Amino acid sequence: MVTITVADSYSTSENAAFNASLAAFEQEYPWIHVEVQYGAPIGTSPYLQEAQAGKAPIVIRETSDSGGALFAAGVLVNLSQYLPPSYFSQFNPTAVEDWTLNGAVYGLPDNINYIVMFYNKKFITAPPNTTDQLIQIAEQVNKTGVWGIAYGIGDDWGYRFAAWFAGFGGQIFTTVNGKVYPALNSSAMVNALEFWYNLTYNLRVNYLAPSSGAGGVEGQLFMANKAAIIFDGPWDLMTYFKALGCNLGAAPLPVVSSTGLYAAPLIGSTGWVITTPQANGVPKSQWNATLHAALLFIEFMTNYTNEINLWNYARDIPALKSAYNYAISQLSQPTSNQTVACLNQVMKGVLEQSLHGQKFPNIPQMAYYWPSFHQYAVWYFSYRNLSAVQAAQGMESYFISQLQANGLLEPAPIAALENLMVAELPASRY
Amino acid sequence: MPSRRAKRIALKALRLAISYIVLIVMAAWSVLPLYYIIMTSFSNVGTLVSLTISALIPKHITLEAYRELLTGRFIPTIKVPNFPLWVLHSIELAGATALFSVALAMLAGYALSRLDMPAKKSLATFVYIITFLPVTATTVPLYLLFARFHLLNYAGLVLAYTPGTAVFAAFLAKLSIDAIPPDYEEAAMIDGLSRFGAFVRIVFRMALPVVALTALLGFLGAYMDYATAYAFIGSNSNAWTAMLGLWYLAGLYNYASAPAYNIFAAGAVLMGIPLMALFLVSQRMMTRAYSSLAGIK
Amino acid sequence: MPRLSPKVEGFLYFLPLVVAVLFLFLYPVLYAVYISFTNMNLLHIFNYRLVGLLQYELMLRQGYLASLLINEVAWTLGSLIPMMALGFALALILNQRDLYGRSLFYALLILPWAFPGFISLLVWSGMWTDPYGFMNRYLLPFLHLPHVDLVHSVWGAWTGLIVTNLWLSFPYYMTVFYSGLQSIPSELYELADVDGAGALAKFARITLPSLKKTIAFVFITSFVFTWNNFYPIYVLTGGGPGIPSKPIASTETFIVYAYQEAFSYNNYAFAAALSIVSTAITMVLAVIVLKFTGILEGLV
Repeated sequence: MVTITVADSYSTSENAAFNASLAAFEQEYPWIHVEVQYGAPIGTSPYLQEAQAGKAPIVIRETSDSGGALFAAGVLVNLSQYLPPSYFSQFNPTAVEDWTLNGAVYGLPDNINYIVMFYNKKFITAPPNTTDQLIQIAEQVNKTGVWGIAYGIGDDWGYRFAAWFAGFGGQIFTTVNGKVYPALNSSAMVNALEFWYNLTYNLRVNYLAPSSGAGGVEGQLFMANKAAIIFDGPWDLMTYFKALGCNLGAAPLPVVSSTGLYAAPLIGSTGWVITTPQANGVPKSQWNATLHAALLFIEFMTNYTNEINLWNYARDIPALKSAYNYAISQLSQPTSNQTVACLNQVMKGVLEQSLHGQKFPNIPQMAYYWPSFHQYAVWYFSYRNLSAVQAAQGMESYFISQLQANGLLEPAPIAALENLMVAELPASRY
Repeated sequence: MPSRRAKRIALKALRLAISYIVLIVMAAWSVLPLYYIIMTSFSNVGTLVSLTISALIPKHITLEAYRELLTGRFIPTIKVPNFPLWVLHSIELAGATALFSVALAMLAGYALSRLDMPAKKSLATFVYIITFLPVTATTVPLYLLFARFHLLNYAGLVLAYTPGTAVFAAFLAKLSIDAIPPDYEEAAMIDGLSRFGAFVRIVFRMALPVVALTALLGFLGAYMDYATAYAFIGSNSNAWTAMLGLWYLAGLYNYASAPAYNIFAAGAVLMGIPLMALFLVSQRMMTRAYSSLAGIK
Repeated sequence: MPRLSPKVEGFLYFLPLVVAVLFLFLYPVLYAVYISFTNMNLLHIFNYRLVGLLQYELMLRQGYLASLLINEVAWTLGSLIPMMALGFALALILNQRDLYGRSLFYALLILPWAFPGFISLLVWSGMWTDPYGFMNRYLLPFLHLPHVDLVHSVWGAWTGLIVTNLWLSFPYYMTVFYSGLQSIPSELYELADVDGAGALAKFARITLPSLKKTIAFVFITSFVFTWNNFYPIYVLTGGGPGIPSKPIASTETFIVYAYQEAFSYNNYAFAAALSIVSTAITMVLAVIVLKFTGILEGLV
């Protein structure tokens, strides 16, 4: 009899699916006893703390970026040592990339999440495919007294803006001489910033909302038919659908006309990880059996049946290719129920975005991206006392100084970045 | 002369008028956010009501949030409605903390007041100043310490909550006991009662306001705590307190899911109302307890 | 049972509190001091080593120290002074003998203190939203006051913080001062009336001196509490809207910064160093004030 502790961070609706899967697992493997911790957090610190005390749970459902930090800290098991590469190829490739660090896979994805473009069919018949079309449509909508777009970039911490940054050809990190460096100071960032500045202050088709999501001003405006386009994630889908009904539409973010690249949102992934004996305190003698049980558990939770469960109960987007295809086929089924048909249309639009996303960086350095982007976004968009070039430079230099202060970057000399003001620290300390 | 008397009356009327205006405005301002919480708890939408356009008078009143809270069974291993069970846990935990805080504070206050102690002033100052360490620094080491001693449970929580209240209450107790003449205890001890017996039978009873205040503050601190409780018993949903349960049910820990603020508000109302009642009932006690502060000469 | 010597007896009664405090505070202080001399962070969570004064050096080199401290003092004094003033004013008003409905007003005014704080914070956070939150949509325009934007404006952030903190805590000060006022014997006032003293003279000669020690004691304890109270800032502004490179340009106080370093960036050693510095400052301040006002003599 082996016991595994599982940290379950599912919401109450997802737990309906999880509990069903759990019951099936216990039936199939009666020699494994599962202790579930409901309401487990998502994030790095809680598990780091528990790991230090040797009391971390054996299996955790985490996000890929927090998992990346935990893996870098030595708290997680490297699954590539136990599962062949062919196993991972069953999943959406971006999802697997999310869970890979330095070539090692440290988690199995259960679902993926990202933002999409939601639009109101009352004002927009066909969603824009390119940014030129986006501007055109937004201007038309604006003439009727309704905001074309409501995108509060001044409140954005970089999660959504990363899509536009990529669309203009940028990338958050670059590797130089094997070292990871931020790459925010590029013409792509300048162009992306100026693009949205133009839409907000010159063309006046974008409303710089102070808060995002269904509970924020963006969502409120959208649901009140006062904004035609917003960028949000499927977690708010049902709230929007309740408000707009069949007028709700979803589509992938458009292609940036000047580059021909898709605005590719960060495709994040949640999934299952296993902690090391040092973190969970399982004695050496029992570790092999425990690891075996834990592997069986996470393989079971990410298999076809259970990914479909999550889709059915909670509309979580499956990371398993076969489950994803099932979901697509389900959505294409003809149905007489009008509501279901409308909802299916929306979901299809949502699923389509998964083909045009970028990996969610899972390196510990990513933690410093958010505040670096955020404050310069606030200064550029809200205070308007910087040029786009200054904002991009500022983001980058702040990012670098934070990395250095936290021991994640040695002061490597790169000519192009020499003119930045950064604190100098002796390399020997690290 | 009538004009002088009239002037006095006018001044008095002015003074009272200003007083009432200030009080009414302040009372309205105090109640405003609480009104919002109550309105949110009666709505069927999960967002904070303050953002809707016509917020003050709600269009639909529904008890959906309360029903879900009071009858829901979210954790398969708990066979009864979850939230009421968790509230029971909170009350147990808070009650134990109150008792423990009172014990520690009264003992220490008595020592400071009546008894001679080596290095009294330095020890008292030390005890007071050491509590200045912020929670950012105490969280991790406390967790590690309690983990090692297998105290990541209710006993550990009571131990963790107590000093916060007890140190402050000890000084209040000292001042309050100072005001009680020692004759009663002396008489009792002459009659054969031990000092401890005199302490319990006489001093406790006469210093009741401070005892009540300490119990209230101790209860409050434990009842409303989320962070420490989460760190200690967050992993065992069978033993959750109401705050932990509320956080879970409202979906607040998971940033990827849309939080259900109406459930959160309903829980806040259910937990807050008895608290406020407790506060009001103990108004007099609190006043008397704090007046001993003015006794510092 | 044999009578213990008074000194030992006294010590025994005081012991449980001392033990609890040692556990809860002394151990973390020692731990924090130790950790501040190591490099414990995300990448060195299991195998950290001593690095001497590195964290303190980093703190100085980063150049935020002055701003963080100024922000911290601004937050503490900026909260405390209005709170105590308002509490005192309300206490004076409630203390008037010819006031009707005192109990009712007192009951309503005490509610912000009685209600769980973090829930109130979330509601306030929603109410301050610009422009759809209640404050900016109805109340402020009604009073012909400018909008307060917590997220994009520095003075808006500070205003929102101070006002919200005021709401949360003024009942406590009101209660304390009201109790203090109630315990001043009315004979003193009557005597002054006989002597023909006016209201202002009575206030200056009787009320204030009687409450002097109360005010001082409450001030010290509340100073430290507010100094360490990062929660309102964390919920309302997250330390924004800028970075602490210049004083007051952000609401990033020392404690908020330490919290972020510890739990958002997992830089435990750096956070420990910050906490130690902050605690040292408050301890020094407290000892100075205690000695200066002579409170300690009256207390023990």
